[in-house]
Amino acid sequence: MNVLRTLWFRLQPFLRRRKIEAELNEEIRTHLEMAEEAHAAAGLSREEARREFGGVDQVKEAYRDERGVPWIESILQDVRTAVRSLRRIPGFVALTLVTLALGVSLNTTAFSFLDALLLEPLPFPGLNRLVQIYRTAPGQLFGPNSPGDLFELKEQKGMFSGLAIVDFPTYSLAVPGQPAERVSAFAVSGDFFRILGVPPLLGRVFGPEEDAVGHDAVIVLSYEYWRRRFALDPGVIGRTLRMNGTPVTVIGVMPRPFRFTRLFGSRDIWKPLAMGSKLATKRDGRWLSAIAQLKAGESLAEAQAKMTAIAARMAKDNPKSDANSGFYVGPLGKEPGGGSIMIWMIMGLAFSVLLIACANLANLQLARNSGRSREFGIRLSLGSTRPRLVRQMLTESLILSLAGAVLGVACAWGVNRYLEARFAIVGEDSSLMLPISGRVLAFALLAALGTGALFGTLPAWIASNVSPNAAIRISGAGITSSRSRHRLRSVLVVSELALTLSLIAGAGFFFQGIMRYKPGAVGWRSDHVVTARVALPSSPYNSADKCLAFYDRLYAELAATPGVEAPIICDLFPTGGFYYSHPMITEGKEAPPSGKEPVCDMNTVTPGFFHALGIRLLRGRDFADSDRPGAPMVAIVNETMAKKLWPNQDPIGRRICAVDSELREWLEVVGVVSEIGFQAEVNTGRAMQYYRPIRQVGGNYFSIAARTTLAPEAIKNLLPKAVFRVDPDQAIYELTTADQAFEDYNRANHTFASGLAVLGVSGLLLSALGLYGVISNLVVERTPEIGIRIAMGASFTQVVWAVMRQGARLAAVGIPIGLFGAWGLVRILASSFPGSAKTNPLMLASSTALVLAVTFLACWLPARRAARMEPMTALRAE
Amino acid sequence: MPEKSELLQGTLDLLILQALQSGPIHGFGLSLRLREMSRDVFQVEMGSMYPAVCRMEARGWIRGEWSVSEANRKARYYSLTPLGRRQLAVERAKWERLSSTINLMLQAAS
Repeated sequence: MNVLRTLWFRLQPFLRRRKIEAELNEEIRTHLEMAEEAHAAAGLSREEARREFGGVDQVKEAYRDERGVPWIESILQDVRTAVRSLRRIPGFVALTLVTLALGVSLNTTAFSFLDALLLEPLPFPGLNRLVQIYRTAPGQLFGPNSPGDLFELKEQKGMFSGLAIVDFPTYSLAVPGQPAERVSAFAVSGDFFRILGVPPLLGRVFGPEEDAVGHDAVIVLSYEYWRRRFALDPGVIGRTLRMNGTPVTVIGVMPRPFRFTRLFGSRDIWKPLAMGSKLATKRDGRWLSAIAQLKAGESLAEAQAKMTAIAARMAKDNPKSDANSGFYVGPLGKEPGGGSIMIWMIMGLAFSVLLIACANLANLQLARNSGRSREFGIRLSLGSTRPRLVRQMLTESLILSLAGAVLGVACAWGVNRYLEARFAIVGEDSSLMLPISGRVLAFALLAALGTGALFGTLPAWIASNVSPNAAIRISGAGITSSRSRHRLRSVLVVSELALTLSLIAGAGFFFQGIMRYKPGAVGWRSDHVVTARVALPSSPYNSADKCLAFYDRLYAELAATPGVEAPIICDLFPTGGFYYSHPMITEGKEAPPSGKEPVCDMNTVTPGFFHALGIRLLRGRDFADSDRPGAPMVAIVNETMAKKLWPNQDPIGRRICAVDSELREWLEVVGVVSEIGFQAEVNTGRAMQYYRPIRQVGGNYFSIAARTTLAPEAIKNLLPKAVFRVDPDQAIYELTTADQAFEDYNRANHTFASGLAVLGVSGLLLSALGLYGVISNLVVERTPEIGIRIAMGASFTQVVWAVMRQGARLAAVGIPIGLFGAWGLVRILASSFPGSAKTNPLMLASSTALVLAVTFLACWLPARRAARMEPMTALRAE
Repeated sequence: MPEKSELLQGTLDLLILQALQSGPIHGFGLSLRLREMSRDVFQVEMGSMYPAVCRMEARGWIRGEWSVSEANRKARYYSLTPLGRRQLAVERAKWERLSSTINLMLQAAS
């Protein structure tokens, strides 16, 4: 109680400083007046009264000491002094803040990725028992699962205490009487909500009983969708909406932070995943995710062992689809494989930029402090202590770093919003969220304060090492122990150069890797093409005939649309690559052992597809309108496939069959076309591709496209109209130009690559700035000497070399160290990301050349300035 | 004029408490009363008295309030709180014990 009262009393000055100061003044004034009157009455002078009272300021000071909390007082005083002295040097402050903001914002953004993708735990109560099941196969680590495999797992009791299958479909959802809109959904099997253990905010969630076809007409809304579409109206529970034309009932709303995966952060609705018997046995085609709950007391390793055994059994039972495939069981929400290494590496690269920034700031601080040695000398001789001076300088650094933190976080916030938009998944609004969470904020603050402490401490200690005598007698720079200052500077610049080289090599490694996966049209023309997706709901389009009729009418509508040169309907427009690939056998040849059949990519297309996209027809004929059900089943193969299956033979008239197709249909080859590719820098001449007439295959999901003679944007809105004329209930989605689609696919990669480039360039720029600053400063310090040299007849080259030698010495140490670090880094990276090692020596060489060039420039500019000095000005500079 | 002596360390609080026992008083009055009480022997520095007053107010021994003096002047009047009265007794006992001990020691030495 007593202590509290004393504390409260003592804290008053901070809360109402002015009032207390005024009261003290008032009290002393009253005292003096009374004393003066008393003295006057006694016949003494007023001065005598004041003399007797003593020094007013000393009394006030003593009173304040008693009143306040001394250490807070003295910190506040330090802060006031620091702000005052910083205000006098706006240039220094601006440079420091820009450097800090750059370093802090890069790191904050990098950390937001780390936080969002690796650190932020998913909000489920029993998270430590939740796992994700991946299918592994040669060339596909951590891939999705086939419905057949998962259905078998789900039915197998005793493996897990719960298993849920997850799909990511999209639907057209309409409030009756209003236009439909596309919603993104999680289609999940019955155990999903039970094993995640999150209760709904409103209503109920669905369970295993809704897994059955016919009972699945229910949906659960996400909080976001509920807010956006229904304005948080609780009356939505029990309402009937129309999804893909059939009625569904809203049974519940999930709470806001219910995120199931990190990347598909916000989807609109949940729907039961009802698998009919045909789907439940389908094993060719893997696209489903699966999560499971480990049995109580079972470890991840035990589950993995059991799953490995099951994978072996499945491979034996279903050799065509499951051979060579395994299962990988990983903790839910933990990115498996190289993804997390990559994110940590990026964090490391960003951190090295911060270190470089730190070195720069320390250099800046050193330069500034060297001009203050006179001030420090005077303060020391007036009784200040060395720790006191260091504290003063540290206060300055910390104020700067706090301001830098604020700026940096503000920048990072903007950058994160931009990145969220850039990383949006093509055609959907769900995306990676990069919020500035508490953790991210704490990181930014820590990074900034750490930087402040680091760039403040050492220079402060060196600067405060002044002899007061010397400081007062000698004027100007060069009083502080200049040797330790120069040594620290050299160390700083050397480490900057070394770090920069490693940084650029590391960033270059990823940059190269990303650029190799650049999607683009190879062997076909993507210009002047508009494309979109259509999904025909299974009612009324429940038969091949109905779909076929739709194709025919749509094809005619598209062809009649003004500006359309060539219409296309195909399974998947080539911007998306191929959906399906099948192991194939050829007629009249002995079939290879099961599992060893050549795997060929397949697309289904309309006649005119090849001509419209500039794919060359090398032999035989294109598909015709007559290639329909009932007519002979035909196929067109690409050159590579023809050469591999029938070397030196005419492929026309031969027959092929997909071994995993249900019907074992034999297809007659009627034509050969050139190969097409989807990645700019991937070797072609390897992929086996074949095409079938879409009318002989059917399907409710397909792409439409049109090549136009006009600007593609001009006919973009004509595609929906054509579909509308065929069936007004059907909407199209992912409407885009082919070039734009590639650009969208590239966008995330480009953003990522540009992010890396920004990291590299920032590091390079900062260390160039650092080196430039140090060499310039040396030139300034050596101005009289250089003046004498020039006066004595030194040539331009001699002076330039005299200056550049200093930079060269630093580079001669820093660059080999950096090269060594870069070499080690790239080796580690290459072992984590196999298949990327080929061009590494070239990259190391070019990184080194880049750093050398920048080093040269940073030394050349001050050297040239020195060599052009007027000797007289130089001599007078002292 | 008698020679001025330095106050013994730690006795200022006791003297101020004692001075306030006879009623509320302002800063100037307190300085006069302290001088009177010592018959002009002790000189209390204002640089000591005000911080001491402040410290004792913080501890809740005395309370300062703005009021109007007999000469119609606004001044801050200090008075003892109940806590202060108790503290006066404590300080006094402490002092008596100290002085009697010192006396005993002086007598024993002589």
